[in-house]
Amino acid sequence: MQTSSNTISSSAVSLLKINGLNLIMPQSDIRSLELATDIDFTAPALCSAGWVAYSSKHWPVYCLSDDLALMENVPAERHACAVLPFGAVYIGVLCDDMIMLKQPIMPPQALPPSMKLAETVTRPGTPIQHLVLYEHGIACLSNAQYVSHYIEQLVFKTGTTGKAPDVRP
Amino acid sequence: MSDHNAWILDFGNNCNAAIGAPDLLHLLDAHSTFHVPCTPVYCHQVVAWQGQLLPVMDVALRLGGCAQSAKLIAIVGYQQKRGINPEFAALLLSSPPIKTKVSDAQACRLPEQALAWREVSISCFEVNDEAVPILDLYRLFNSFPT
Repeated sequence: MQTSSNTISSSAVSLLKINGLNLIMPQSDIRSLELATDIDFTAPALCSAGWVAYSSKHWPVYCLSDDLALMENVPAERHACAVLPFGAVYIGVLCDDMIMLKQPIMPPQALPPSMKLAETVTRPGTPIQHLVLYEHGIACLSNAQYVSHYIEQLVFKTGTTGKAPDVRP
Repeated sequence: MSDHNAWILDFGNNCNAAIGAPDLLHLLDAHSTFHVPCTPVYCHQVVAWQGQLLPVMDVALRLGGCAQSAKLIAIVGYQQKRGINPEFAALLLSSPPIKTKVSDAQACRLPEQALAWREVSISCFEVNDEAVPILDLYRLFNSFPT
């Protein structure tokens, strides 16, 4: 497995906790963190959970499981919503908690070739680019572009097949 | 005629293969793995070993068989070719590996029904009237099932 020569700066990343998943993203990709209580859960868009207000507009909010599948019912522990840029628009991603990492984390390692899921007609590819040892487990590294594209593909493939795609082959 | 040391690995459900003796580096408990989402079902875990996170492969599942109830993880090392830095990965095992000596006289064809093995094996030898493929670890960890 390749190891990146760069360690991640201690103040540059945030960790989104989604049940058992630790998802690390650049802090600059998280434009806002809203309370789940401020989300409008009425009349959500296709496959979304509700709407978040940001920059004078409302953007769709998505709820993911710790296996990165879209969830119809929002678990009670999703207390926060991270607003991510997606091109010229934004999306919200619900999480249990967000931590600004203060301690330096280990050098990230590229996701091994044997673990990379390619995008297919029925399934999106993986948004995870790197892995890193974190506390007593691991964290997955991604960014707003990969996560937003992944969610867009999940929604698109759900819309065309009428059911949520299996995120594993 | 030369003899080579090899390990026979048990992937469960009568699914066995061999690797060269120097390729097996370490055995770990199978419960020390971490799940990674959005990964193939046969390679959805990593294990921490010497500061690295290594992919953990269920070979039986990779070849279209049933998932094994693994007890052990074998840490293996391999090179794409001589002179290149080794890479490391892990294989789920259903029982401890068995050491054996293999001679050129034991070479045999892969069984006709073992098509899936052709993608990930270098050759095959016969032990106790059973054909045992020799794994190509580089191809196993750098290709996808067709």
